Amino acid sequence: MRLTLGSEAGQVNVLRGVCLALPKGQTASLVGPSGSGKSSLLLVAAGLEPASSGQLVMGGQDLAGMNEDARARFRRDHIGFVFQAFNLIPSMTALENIAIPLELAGAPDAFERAAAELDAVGLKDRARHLPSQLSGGEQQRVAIARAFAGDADILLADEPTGNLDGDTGAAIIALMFERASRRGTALLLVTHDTALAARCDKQFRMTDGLAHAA
Amino acid sequence: MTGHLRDLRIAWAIARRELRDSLGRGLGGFRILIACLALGVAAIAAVGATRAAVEDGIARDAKRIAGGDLEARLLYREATPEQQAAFQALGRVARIAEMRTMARVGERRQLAALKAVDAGYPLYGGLTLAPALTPEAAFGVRDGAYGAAVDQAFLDATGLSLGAAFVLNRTRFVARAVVTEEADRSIGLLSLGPRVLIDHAALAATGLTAPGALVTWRYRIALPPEQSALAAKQTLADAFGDPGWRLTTYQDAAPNLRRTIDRLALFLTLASLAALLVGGVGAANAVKAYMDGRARTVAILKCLGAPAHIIFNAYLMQIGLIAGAATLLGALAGGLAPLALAGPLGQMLGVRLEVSAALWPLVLAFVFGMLTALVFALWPLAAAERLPAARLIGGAALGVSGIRPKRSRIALLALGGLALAGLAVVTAADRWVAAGFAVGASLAALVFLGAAYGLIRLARRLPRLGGPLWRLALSGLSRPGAPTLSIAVSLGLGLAALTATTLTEASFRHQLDGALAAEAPTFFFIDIQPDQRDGFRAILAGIPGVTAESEAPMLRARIVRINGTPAAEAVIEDDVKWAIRNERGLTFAAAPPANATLTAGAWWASDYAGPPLISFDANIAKGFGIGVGDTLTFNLLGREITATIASLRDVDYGAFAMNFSTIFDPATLAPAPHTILATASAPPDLETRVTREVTDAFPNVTVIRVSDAVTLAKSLLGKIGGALAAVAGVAVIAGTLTLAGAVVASQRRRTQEAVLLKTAGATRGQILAAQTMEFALIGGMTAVLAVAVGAAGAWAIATFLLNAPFAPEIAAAALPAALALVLAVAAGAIGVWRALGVPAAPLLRNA
Repeated sequence: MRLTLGSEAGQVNVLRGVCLALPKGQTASLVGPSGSGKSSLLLVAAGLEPASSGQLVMGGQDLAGMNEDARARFRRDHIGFVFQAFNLIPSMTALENIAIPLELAGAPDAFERAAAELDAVGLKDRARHLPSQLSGGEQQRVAIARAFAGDADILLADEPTGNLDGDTGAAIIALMFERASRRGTALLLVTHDTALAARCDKQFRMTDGLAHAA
Repeated sequence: MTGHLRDLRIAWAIARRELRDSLGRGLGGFRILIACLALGVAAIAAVGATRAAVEDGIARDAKRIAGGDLEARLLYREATPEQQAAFQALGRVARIAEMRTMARVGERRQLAALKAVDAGYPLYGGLTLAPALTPEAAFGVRDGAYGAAVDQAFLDATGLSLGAAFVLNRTRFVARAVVTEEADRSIGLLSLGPRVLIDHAALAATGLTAPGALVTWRYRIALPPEQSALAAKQTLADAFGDPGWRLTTYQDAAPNLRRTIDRLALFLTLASLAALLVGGVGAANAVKAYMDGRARTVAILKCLGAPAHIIFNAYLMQIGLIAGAATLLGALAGGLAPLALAGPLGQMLGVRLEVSAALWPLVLAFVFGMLTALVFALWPLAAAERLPAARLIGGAALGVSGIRPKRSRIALLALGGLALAGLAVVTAADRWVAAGFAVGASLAALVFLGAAYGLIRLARRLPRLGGPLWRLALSGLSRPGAPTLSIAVSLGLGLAALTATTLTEASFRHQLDGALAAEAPTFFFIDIQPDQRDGFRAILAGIPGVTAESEAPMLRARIVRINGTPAAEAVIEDDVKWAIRNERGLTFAAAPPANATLTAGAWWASDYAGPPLISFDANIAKGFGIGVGDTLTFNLLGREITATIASLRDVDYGAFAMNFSTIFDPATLAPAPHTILATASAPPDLETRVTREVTDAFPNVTVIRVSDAVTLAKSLLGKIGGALAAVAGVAVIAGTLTLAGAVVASQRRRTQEAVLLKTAGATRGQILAAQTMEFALIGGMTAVLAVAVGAAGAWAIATFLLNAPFAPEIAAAALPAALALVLAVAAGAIGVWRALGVPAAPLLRNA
């Protein structure tokens, strides 16, 4: 898979022929220096950035042939996200943040399922709180609950502990791995933390737009 | 649930949560949006509601205003005994005579609107006198003098007090009461001379009703409740045909006022629409700022799988609700305008104003507001749905700047713009004027946009010479997201509207002044009897310094047929319909007038004595679709005369000269009873003497001073100009709000820049100077362009609508220009001053 981005300053080969496979239920980590293409690979994997060439097959479906709305629906049904900056919707309560992907999927029991997910991450009593009323760790728990609420096939996590202190980060990681394992969800984790990367079934190192098995 | 419905439900769920959050933190960024929309809509609603209130007032009091259910009006002569008997057979009748005359009070001479009434008057409504006298006590003979009730203005002008005497023609009257309410006072915006009310016996005694004197006789009939006015009109028409009278029912009450109000409402509505469009730019800025603030949420929603159309609908709903509330607020506030205007406007028009129950003007204003909101909000909303969610991970700045919407959304925007223009045209009283406005406003917006783009490009390309302040100012103009475009368009359009209004009024005023100074005579003398002509000439000749200008015999007649087709059924262009509406003055002459320009045909021989011929106004002939050789039939004193058009002339009605649309050959009309109309010029110090000597010798002659007519026209113009300026002022306020919004939106950038500059060692004075310079450049360009665009608009209005020469009055145009500069610089300076007050350290720590 290749990704070339153009700007006024010229063209940049961000991904220069990345080839990797992640079986269902497995975990993989991506490490590498800043600008090596980790985040770009995550974006392409999520269908947020169309690849310049190559194939991206997920659950038997090729994202390359899909238009923007089809890719959005695919994300809704198959992909979960956890970001470094949590990225909860500030105008929605914790419960609503978890329910929104379910609502988008048309689930009639969106709020019941969201409540169960919130309970599963230990924040039952925070349902009506807005993100601004939650601590960083709590926000990331809500983000994890949201990522798993739609029964995603794969969870894409971008530096999920980058904005958290050590203890909270460890708890978040434990929760994420536990949830992924219980659900049989594949996990692609971008991190600078080599110890965390080592916990994954597979480890890849990104250098200059290429991925190597570590 | 279908997919569409489900998507809408989800969009609504998102919209509801977002709104809950926005409103929970106060209106915030919506304030400018709400103010801009509400102001423009309120102006449109106020105009519409006031117009509806006036129309309601006329309809509600139609019988009072018309003075009866049915009126037969005749010029020069009374109805025949048979006709009067027919009126009596239909119901109660009031007989009224109206004319202009001169009242003499010692050495003073006062033009008066004389009205003689009988015991049946008024049929509807009241006649209130102070003191409250009976008609007999007010008008009857006492101590050898007739009584009169007069306007307070008559007493003020003559210096009379109640109980004092004045003379009409050769008859003595005593002012016994002041008229405080006259139910059927012909309402109109122009009326020369205050009212003098007498009875018929007194009128007969004055001798003012000699043959040929311009007396209007009105027979008002109050029908029994079960009788329809239209049926009664038909009964009279069946019995007498068209004996040269004009029959009108109460439903036709105040046609001139209705036409004037329609015309005025059109201009005010268009000016309000200009204000709304200016506000639209502010609304667009506000929506863009809001969407910039929501860009992260949009990106998250996209990551979570929300399709673009759900995101678009969610934010369209939010903005739609806010815009709907603002528009509703504006429409309701505007709807209350008649309450505020009831006093002064009602008194001016003679109509009781109440808040109209008609919802249509408010609905129309609401639709205008919502369409404007849609057109201006659509771009940032449609840009947001295309926001690349990838920016969420890349750490790039999130915003909607520079994102081009989908083609289908751009098409929707264009459709909204067309709908807005179409609605303005379809609902206008004059569609060509509204279409001209739509094209003009679009062109003006393009000019301001083009100029702002030009300024931005120029700022980018100019060599970075000069000091750092100059460089900062230039880069401030051209950096991405700079408010240059929105300030230029919004402030520019608002000030262009103000300039156009000011210069149009100046042109009209200039025309009046110019006509008065260059061509106008000092006096018009009306109703000179043919046997008084020599004596009249002798009086003028006997006062050194007075010049007799011109004389013409005058009669009044109505065009009843055009080439044999009844005038009411003929196809006639709107702009010349006035020519068949009422009796018009006409004359006869052996030779063409000195100022006449024949455009077709030839003048008759001076000794012509054949079938009737006329020379006719070329412009009216064009509107009638007729020319030389065609015929017009006139009703003159009940007689029909069919004349062939021998020639066409250009007639300039704008000049205060003696102008007649129709000139007959002398053989046809000389035998008919007529009076002489004459004009004369005199220096100001002789005006009183001329008036006195002419009216002493010929008390039946009415003297009209042209300067009085011009003063009256100017006072009316001032009132209309005031209303237009008020609405244009709303456009300027909307422009100022937009400017303020733009400054607020760029405040964060400005604060960061100020902090960084301070860190680099810039003093507060230097930063203030640089950023003020930036706003001075935008303001200066906008000011110059606003004057040019506004002047072009005023030129178009003066040339094509008012037929007035355009007066490029620099002083009138300079005010809006100076205002633009002051507003822009002040807004910029205030913004910078606030930015300078922010301490540097916290911002640097978080940078």
